[in-house]
Amino acid sequence: MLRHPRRRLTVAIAALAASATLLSGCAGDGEAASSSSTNPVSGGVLKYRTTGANLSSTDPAIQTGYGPTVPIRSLVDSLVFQKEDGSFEPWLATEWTVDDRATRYEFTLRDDVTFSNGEALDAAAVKKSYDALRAQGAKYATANEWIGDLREITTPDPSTVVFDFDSPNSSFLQASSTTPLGIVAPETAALSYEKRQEGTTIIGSGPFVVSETRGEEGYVLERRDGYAWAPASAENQGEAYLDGIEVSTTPDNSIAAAQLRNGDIDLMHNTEPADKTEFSTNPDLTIRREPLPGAALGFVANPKQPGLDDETVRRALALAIDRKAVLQRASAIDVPATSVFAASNPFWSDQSDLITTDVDEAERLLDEAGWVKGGDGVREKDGERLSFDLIYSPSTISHEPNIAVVQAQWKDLGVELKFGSLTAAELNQRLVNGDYSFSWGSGTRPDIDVLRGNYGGLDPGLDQIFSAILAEPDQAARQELADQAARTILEKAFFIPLYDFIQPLAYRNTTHIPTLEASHIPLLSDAWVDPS
Amino acid sequence: MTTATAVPALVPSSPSRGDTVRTVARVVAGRLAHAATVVVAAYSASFFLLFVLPGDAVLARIGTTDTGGSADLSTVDLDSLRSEVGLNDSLGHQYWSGLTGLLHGDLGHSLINDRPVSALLGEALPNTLTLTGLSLLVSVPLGFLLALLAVVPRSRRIRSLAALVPSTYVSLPVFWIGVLFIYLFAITLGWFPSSGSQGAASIVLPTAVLALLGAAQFAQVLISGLRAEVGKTYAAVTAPAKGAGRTYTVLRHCVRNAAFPFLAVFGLRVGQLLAGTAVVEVVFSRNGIGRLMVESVRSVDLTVVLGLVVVLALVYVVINMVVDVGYAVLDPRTRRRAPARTPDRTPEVAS
Repeated sequence: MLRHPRRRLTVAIAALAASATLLSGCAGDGEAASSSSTNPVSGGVLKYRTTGANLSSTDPAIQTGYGPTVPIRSLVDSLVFQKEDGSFEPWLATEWTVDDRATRYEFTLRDDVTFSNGEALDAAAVKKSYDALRAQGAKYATANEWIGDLREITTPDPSTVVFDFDSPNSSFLQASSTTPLGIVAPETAALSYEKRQEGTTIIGSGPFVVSETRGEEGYVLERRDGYAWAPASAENQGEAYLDGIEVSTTPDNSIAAAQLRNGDIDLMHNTEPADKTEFSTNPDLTIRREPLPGAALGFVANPKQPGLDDETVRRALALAIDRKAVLQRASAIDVPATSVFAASNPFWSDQSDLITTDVDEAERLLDEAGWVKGGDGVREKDGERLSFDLIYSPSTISHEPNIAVVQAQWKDLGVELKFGSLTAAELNQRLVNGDYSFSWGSGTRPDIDVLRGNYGGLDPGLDQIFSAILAEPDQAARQELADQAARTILEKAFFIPLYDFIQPLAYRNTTHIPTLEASHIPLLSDAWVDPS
Repeated sequence: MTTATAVPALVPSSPSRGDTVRTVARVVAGRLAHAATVVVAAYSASFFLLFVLPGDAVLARIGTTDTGGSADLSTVDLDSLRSEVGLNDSLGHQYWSGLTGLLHGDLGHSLINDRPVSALLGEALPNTLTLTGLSLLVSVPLGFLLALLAVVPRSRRIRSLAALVPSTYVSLPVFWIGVLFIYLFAITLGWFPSSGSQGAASIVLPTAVLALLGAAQFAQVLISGLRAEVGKTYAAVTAPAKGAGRTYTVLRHCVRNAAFPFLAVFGLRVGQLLAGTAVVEVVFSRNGIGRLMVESVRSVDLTVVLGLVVVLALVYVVINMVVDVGYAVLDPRTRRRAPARTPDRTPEVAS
């Protein structure tokens, strides 16, 4: 189908690249080569490939993974917009106030916003949207975790909505900016959970509406007429440029990568290491190099397991890892971790002084703690072997070559590591029961609270910091507490960071996504594709 | 495959009308009882096997720890959700209410997204039926063609080559062939879409993968059957003596006799197809019951898996009946009380 036009296109791009190289010699700027147009063009359909199951549902509150959230972001708007630098700006709310204990949030809403079914977006609609999530409890586990200890929502007047909390939740402003807590129309809020999963039943105030569901294969969005309430950071303040967005899923990452090279899709999420490296040099494609702004990737220790209950052992294990060797098995664009947070997290600060390699010191620490090598080369003490397991979900399989490097490095130290992926059901069961040594640490929330999710309940001192964070709405003071928390986690080696979470979007150079929110999810009302 | 009982109903030429009605009634009742037993047995076996899987649907539906954290899991109220979807009831109670629901035609609701199982099946089934139906439709004549090519031609070289193709193809994994086809025909040549079920062109590649496999399996049994028949006296001596050519002899006499093992394989093939679609539907990212099964087992979605098992068991029962009918049509000897009419049909009718 596309064969011949593509060949011509390749030739044209090669010619373009060549001439751009010549030009850059004069202008001293190679930027021109990357994109063929800088002025937005209206029209066209963006073909997006996502990962993850349950694509038959477009319910924002259950789609909490990065890939499925990208298109759903454009169905619903949020109370506030979190900019890429982590700061907040008005969106559906024109202003807001937070009390000094972070237990009361008051939002003043815009009065000109409507849902795509014609209903007005007012305080009552916001309350209904949130109440619908809370009524379902664990069915919206992540959304309700982020909402926290909410007591009640009141609506003193149609443009004011007040959230009162029983205990402080300084992360709520960030939570209210996320897609899962995006505002749905009263008509949607009145639906049963089951009805919300049907694919076309989600009505929001966003720049796109669902026009067709294709079950587990994906769905189609089309532009909503009259959209005029984008956040100020958006380059496009009016209706979306794109006519529509086609969302599909190709289970195999390598096939999806071939589809992107081929032009069958315009934008994709999740790339294998080999394809990442290739994309980074491919003249037709762009791959984002910024890690997702959550936590760094690595091993989260379960300090209740024998062996790992000893801080010395955990520190020795951390010191024995040579991250340069680990990264040699990764793609060309991955970078070593410099904190518990990924470098793109607004609360990141450089703590690489705590992430070092010293194998001799690691040996010394283990010897000193009384762990001596047994007949099979694995250290033992009182009949207990230093043998650990690492568990993770299938989405982590592409990191296994890197994990194998750690396995080899620990083997030299006299420590055994076994690893394998589990289904969500089994993984969660073992996490809940504490039946594991290490879990794969990740987390994609651009907030400090991403730490509490993994390290809550491990250490009284740390829990105190987490409580202090939740009660502290001031950004600067939160940053200080974030540094403290990250430092404690690294010093006590509750987490052994490896590298930052680079699982970025890749797209053809004919696709333009100029604006991202802090979670690195693009605003698709700003996106456009060059006409072919 | 209890051939004998089914046959009288098919060719009603018995002495009295009353006898026929009674026989038909008995056969139908026996068949229905058999079908019900198969469905209940399949249901029960799957029900108890599923509880061996680690974790449960509630743990699967709360998602992974990418967005929440592992410590968050402990604060989620899983028990009330378990009560709501019925996972806190005793095993016996769950089994019994599932079974009685089945009797009322109620397959229950998914434990993962609360949607009715019948709705999920309704969305998945048409796609899978189209895919399996089309691939069977293509694979039967193709199988016969390959088999004839391996037996009829005078050139030994052509015959051995044609006999080699099916066994080679059968030994390749479906998953690998699917991916190969995608790279070749979708990505490199751009002839067909690589995934989804939108538009008529999207069914070509998945059908091809399955149809070729079916044809290869059919050809394998047909080849060995035909080779045996061709060597028998009637084909090797009698027919040529009467002046019949090789091609005529094979087509007119041998194919029919060699078709019995084919029928048995045909019944098995339908079963394999339903399993094969799971792989093909995942590789080609198509909606369908195979993919639904894979995802439901992965997320321990008991009700959906059981609903699928019931539907698949019914399909097996129906296919077995069709195969029995096929035996009767092909072979006069299996028709005990019906010597009168010998329908002069070619084996293809049975398929």
